[in-house]
Amino acid sequence: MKEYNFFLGCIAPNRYPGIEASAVKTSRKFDIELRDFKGASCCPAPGAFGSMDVNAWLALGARNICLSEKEGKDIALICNGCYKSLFEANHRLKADPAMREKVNSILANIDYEFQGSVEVRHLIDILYNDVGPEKVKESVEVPLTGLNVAIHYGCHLLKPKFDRTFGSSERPRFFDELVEALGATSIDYKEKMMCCGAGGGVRSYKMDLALDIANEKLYNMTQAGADVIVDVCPFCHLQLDRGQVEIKEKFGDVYNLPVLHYNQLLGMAQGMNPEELGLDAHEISVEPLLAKIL
Amino acid sequence: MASEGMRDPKHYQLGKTQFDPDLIKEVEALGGKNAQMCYQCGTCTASCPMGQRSGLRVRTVMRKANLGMRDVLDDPDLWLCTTCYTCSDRCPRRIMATDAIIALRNIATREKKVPMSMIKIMGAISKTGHGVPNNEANMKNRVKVGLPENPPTTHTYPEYIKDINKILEVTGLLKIREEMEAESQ
Amino acid sequence: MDEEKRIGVFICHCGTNIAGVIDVKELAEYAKTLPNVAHAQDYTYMCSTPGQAMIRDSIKEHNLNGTVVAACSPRLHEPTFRKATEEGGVNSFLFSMANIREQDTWVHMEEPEKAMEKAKDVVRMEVARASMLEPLTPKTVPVEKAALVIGAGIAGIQASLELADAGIKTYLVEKEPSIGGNMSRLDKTFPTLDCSQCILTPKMVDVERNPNIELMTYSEVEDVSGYIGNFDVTIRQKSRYVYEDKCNGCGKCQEVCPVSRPNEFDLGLMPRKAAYVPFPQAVPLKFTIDMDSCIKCDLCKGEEACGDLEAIDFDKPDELTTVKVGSIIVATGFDMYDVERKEEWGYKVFDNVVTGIEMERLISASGPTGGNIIRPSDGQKPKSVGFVLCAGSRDQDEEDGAKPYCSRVCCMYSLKHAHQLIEKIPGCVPYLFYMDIRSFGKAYEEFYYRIQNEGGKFIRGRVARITEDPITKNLTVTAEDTLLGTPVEMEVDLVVLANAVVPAESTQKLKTLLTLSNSPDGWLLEAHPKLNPMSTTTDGVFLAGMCQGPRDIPDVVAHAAAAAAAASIPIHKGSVTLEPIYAIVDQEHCGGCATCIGVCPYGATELNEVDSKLVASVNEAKCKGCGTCGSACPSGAIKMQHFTNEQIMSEIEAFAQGW
Repeated sequence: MKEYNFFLGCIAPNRYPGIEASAVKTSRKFDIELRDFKGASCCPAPGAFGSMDVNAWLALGARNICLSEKEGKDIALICNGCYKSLFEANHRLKADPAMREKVNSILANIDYEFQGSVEVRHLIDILYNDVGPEKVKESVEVPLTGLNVAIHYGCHLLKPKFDRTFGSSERPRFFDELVEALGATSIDYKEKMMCCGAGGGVRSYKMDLALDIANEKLYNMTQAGADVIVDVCPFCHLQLDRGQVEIKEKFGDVYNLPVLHYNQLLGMAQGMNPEELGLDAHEISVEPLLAKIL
Repeated sequence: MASEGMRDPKHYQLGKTQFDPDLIKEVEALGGKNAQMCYQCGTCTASCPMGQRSGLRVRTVMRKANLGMRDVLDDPDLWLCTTCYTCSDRCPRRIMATDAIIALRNIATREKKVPMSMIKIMGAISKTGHGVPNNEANMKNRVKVGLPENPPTTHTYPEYIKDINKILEVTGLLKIREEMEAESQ
Repeated sequence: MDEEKRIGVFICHCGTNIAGVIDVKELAEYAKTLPNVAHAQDYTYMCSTPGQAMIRDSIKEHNLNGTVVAACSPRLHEPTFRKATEEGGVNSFLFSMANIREQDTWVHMEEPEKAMEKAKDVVRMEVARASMLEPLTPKTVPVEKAALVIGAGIAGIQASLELADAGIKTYLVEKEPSIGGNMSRLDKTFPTLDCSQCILTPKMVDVERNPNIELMTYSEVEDVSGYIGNFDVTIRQKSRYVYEDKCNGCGKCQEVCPVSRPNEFDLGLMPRKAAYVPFPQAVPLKFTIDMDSCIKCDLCKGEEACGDLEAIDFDKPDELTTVKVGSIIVATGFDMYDVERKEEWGYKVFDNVVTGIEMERLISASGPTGGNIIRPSDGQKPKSVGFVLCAGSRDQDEEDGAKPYCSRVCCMYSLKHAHQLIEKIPGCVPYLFYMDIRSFGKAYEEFYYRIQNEGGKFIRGRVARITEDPITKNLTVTAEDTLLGTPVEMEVDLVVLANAVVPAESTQKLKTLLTLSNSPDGWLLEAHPKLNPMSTTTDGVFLAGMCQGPRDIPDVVAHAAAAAAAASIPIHKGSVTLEPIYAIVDQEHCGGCATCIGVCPYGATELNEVDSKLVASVNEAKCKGCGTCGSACPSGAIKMQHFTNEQIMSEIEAFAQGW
């Protein structure tokens, strides 16, 4: 039984609780316990908040890490944005003594000190590298045969490659393998590796332009015959799910393409029902997807 | 005597472009690694999804930062970068152009040239600890999937919020927010 | 030391390099206070003519029997001051040099007081050593009147022809079945648009015919021992499974052979048989059996093929030959960067993305398409071609294996390809995506002008990524036109990646055998980048061509000729003088334990019976004076000339006095 402090971020717990619940439930099947992480806050949002002050961003991220250090637990999370904030804060402060000193001098104001004693892992990394696609396949009760999945890796999971562990960001395969382990087909589509458009504070700053990027992705996914979009980031999830509603309002384009976080798809394949995975709370109805699977 | 459409000779500003050689050093110090080494190949602009649909030209931003043209801090397109890091991954001079843009945003923030949308996010964090706080509709959805109404974050343990505000205060961010919110009245 | 030591110390100002940091006059005064110093003075430039005269005259005037110059690194002027000392009538090995520039004033210029103290320490130490030095006589060894050239591309060919025509017997070793190297793969050469094979093959034939050249193809250098003037080189002539003296190049074996393999010469774009020559103009025109692919069907040995000549023997072994040479030239050329690692450009993923050298084969009349430039996916002639310049060059991303240097030839060959496309395919438009156009050589800028005049299009922007249309297999090239400040996405039929040149993999093994180093960029290290690019720091070993760094054909030929000239000097002189900095065994105290035999990296020590006792001795010519045996000898019987234990200890003790 491996225990992690489950870092939630903002969008998953406060807009898409199904992502939170499905992560906890599906991880239990692999003997991974995602425990309550008391007192955590916004990671803080790397693009929006970090744009204002990188030191404050590192300090707030380090505050979250310190909370977990006090309990001696590694952190697991399910959001690319939170991954950037916490993985990078952890990595940089461990490697750079000058930066650590600077951030610790800010943290001293609240009597915290970053030790560098825990790890920060994205759940998709844990599933691929610790659990492995074979074991994931073994846990499948409802193979998703014939399901065309448009995978959206997102950005902060893979980039910048020098500060991540996944290698080149041009043609990664690990997320595809995890989807294929469920019996589904990962389809190729134009601009598969492109950003969803939400990050960097742009979704709040100039929503039209942010949505234009998402619109291009949605168009390409639809052209390639996608049945569902699968992501590993609640912010991308919001942009692509709620974003379809906003795109219909602003641009008139309609896709009706269901959007799932990987853990929700994993839960479906493991035989869980859509309500317990929070799929009914999505803006875009998952009915067409359920029709195909069930 | 200036006629319509002609510039008054008194206002000609030949040779008066302002170059600040410290700007690039500030950018490198705030995380824009190797920014000084840009040789203007344009790989960044070509990799940028925003470059395809707006006036954001990453290469030009890097040019202005290198020459020290501080008007780049006034550029509204500076805030269009989604921080996707594609440019940084492909740069042949290993420049973190994204981090250079973030650094410029940091400098602009100090000069109160930051969009109010960002200030609002800071406000939410200051008040609740979350950039995107919980709401009534969501609480119902949480209960439906077997979770408590509020996550075990600062929503359930608001005593941690004062620590967050302390950090915002000592880094000077709270002050910037106060001043900007006052000015926007 | 029977004679009283009278040492002269000369402190050099080196302009302001030394004098600008420390007080040289004070240093000279300090030197006068040291034991055994009979004279000390300072001067602006000791290496100048008056400076050297000063050493000569002072020896006579003050009756000196030892000299110390405190100045720059001995690597620069040790020979100068040794000569001046000798001319003054004192054995040149009674001269010693104190480096107070590179190791003091240059690195401690921010702390002049400490630099001064260090200078005093260094001078004191060197005077102490000079007091212990003994006169030595350099040894002269004869030079073998033969040379070895490793690699027979244009560099090796040029170098060996120059040596051979100067009357020197030259062994030319080439690892491939034919000579010619990468130049034989090219179609036309810039800027003259000479046909590459047409200008190369006459030289190849000259090499084969030259009575002074012994050509060993399909061969590799296996071992090298010895020293300048006397290298013993073991060469493995790999078996072709064909008797070269019986094969007449008729090609019947190739006709009947049932096995096909990708032809390495054509970069795998065209097949060859297991019995093959790499290309029709191969020198020597002898067939080779690729035994890894051969299925031993024996058809080639049959009546229809080689039955009469009986030139094929599947049991023919490799042959090892040892040759003795005076000089060695390394001319092992280059490889191409594995641009597949730059995933954003889709090489080996998209059919219609090729490298520059593959393009050469597509253009070449003896290539896979007979000189018709066609797209790999469908055989159609491209109407628009995108060139990606600096593909893997000028790139700091070491993790992708990219190279920080400029590969020098790609701007020019891309211009050439553009020209050839315009000429061969009417209406075809080449688009060169560049950061800079480096047309630096004679007639190169004019060539750039010409290509732009003929209709080549230039977009100043590095290609960020390439995508493929899954149906047409056309490519979309994404770059920013930086001159317009606009991103462009251009659809083209074919993409050529002008990928970086990289040091040849096969050179690695030679480095150890010849004790050669790399420069930081991975190419072989020259003796001096400006004044001696064709020699190495290993006496008797020289560099020709790309193995030392990227260069175009004119520069390769010039470099190879320079290497040949340098390599011929010791051979023509007939002898070399070796520094007497070697080990000597005191045979009375030698216990015959053979420890020194085991530790010597150069094989310079031997064990022999002298007066019915086994004792060690040192081959002075092979010994490099590294000191390993001297420190390993348990009896203390080995003395390192010019660096004896006493001399080194005196330095250490002199240093300790300063504490």
